[in-house]
Amino acid sequence: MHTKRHEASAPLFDGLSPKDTSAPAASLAGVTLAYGDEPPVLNGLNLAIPAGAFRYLIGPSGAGKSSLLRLIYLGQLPSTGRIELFGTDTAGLAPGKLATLRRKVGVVFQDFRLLEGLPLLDNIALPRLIAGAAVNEARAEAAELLEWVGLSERSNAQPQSLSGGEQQRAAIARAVISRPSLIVADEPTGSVDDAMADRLMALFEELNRQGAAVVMATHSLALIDRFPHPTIRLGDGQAHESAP
Amino acid sequence: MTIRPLLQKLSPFGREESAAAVAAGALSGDSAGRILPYATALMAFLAALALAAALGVGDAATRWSAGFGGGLTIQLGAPPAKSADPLPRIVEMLLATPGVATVSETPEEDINRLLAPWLGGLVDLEGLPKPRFLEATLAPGTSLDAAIVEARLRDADPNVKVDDHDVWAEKLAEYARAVARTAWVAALLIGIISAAAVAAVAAARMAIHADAIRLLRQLGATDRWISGLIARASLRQGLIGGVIGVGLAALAVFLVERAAEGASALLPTPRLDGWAWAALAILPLGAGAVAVAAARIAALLWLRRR
Repeated sequence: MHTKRHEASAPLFDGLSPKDTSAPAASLAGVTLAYGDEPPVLNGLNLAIPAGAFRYLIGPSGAGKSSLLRLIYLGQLPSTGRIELFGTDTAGLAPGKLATLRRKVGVVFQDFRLLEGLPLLDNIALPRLIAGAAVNEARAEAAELLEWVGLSERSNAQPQSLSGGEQQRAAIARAVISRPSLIVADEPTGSVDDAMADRLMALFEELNRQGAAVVMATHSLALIDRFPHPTIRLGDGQAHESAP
Repeated sequence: MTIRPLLQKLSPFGREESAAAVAAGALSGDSAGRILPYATALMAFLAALALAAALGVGDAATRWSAGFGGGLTIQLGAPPAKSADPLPRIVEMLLATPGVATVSETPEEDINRLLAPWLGGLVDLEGLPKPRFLEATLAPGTSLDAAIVEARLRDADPNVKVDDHDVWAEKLAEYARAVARTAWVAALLIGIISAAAVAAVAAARMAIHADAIRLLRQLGATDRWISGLIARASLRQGLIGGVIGVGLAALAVFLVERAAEGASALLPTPRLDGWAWAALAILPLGAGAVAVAAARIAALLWLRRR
């Protein structure tokens, strides 16, 4: 059943060539992040996510996984240190260039962040609309992704009427619709059952095979076992990489 | 088949605006936005009334200057009972005065008609001793000193009075111009207040939708694009409010003009010509333009601070 649906979605992902392979997708050097007077969550962290890489981000609660992801997707500035995306230093970037850079990053937020007031289809089409795609084109791609994540019958639903699992699937669809060069996902399978988790992981892996780097925070060791990739363990404000 | 595809094709914003129209739904449905059409309608109503006053009174000043200037009014008492009537002599003296083109006596019926509203039916106007009036028109480009003319005419009638039309017509016109200037200033102030109100609503909407805006930025939207969403919504609401407000003001002006027709014998009545009505008709577009500019600037300033 999964194979059949995967084939149905093939036109969306066919013909993609790896993007931005010349520089690391993300590179952090000496990054420290502290909130107020609290001890730093990240302390002089050095990390590189090569283009086209797939990395799990693991660590106990409070280790700074979400904070690190926020830094990578440019949702927050570090206290100190340097962050580069696709070889571009993000410090002091002009707003227009920042927006262009952000379009190359697909984000799956832990709290989904679907917009009320927009039907599900338009929520998913939003990144394409922002990038300047025609409405019909963007909606057609969104409809295709909705079918892939099993929500085609909910395309006109308001986000608040969806279950947590449905919202999570929709958030993933929105994150990947622009075929980003870097996908940052915070617990993207935390609210779905194993079958749907496998299905979503297949989508992430397919995008990764086609050139997108993936950084995925997860608590699920079972998921890592089923889909083995190198891990980055966060602890004491530092990142420690290990092979699968 | 609906009209929407055609309108989208004709839209100056083209395809990009269609995408923004879809995305604008994410920043809609707040109470601040719902207030805007009503506020704009009220402001457009007041602005249209001020504009109508400015145009109507300004036009009246021009007409009064042109209509009443260039002449003298000579007032005499009622014909004396025991001596010769000085009127023929005064007419003769006026016609002999260099610069005077014509002299005509105001008919008694006209004087009765002017007095009737003041005296009502209580007095028999026919039997009442009434002043008489001569209207002297001057040759084009000529002016006479009313005091000198009056001094000369006193040889014929010691009680004669001469009024220079130019003097009081100019005073009336200056008064009308002052009223018109005040109305223009009022219209301008209303426009500024409207812009401030739209900007305040836009800022409030940005604050209400701060989370959505943060997400749009994360998805790669530029500040210009986001401010365009707010400006687009404000344009629509500004136009709706503008049409309603100006429509109500036009109705009010029309009713005032009709009511003034009955009092035209007593009061000089300002009225709107075709150009003034055309100016009122395009006022909603002005309201829309003010709404777009104010909302976009307010949104950009809000975004710049965050």
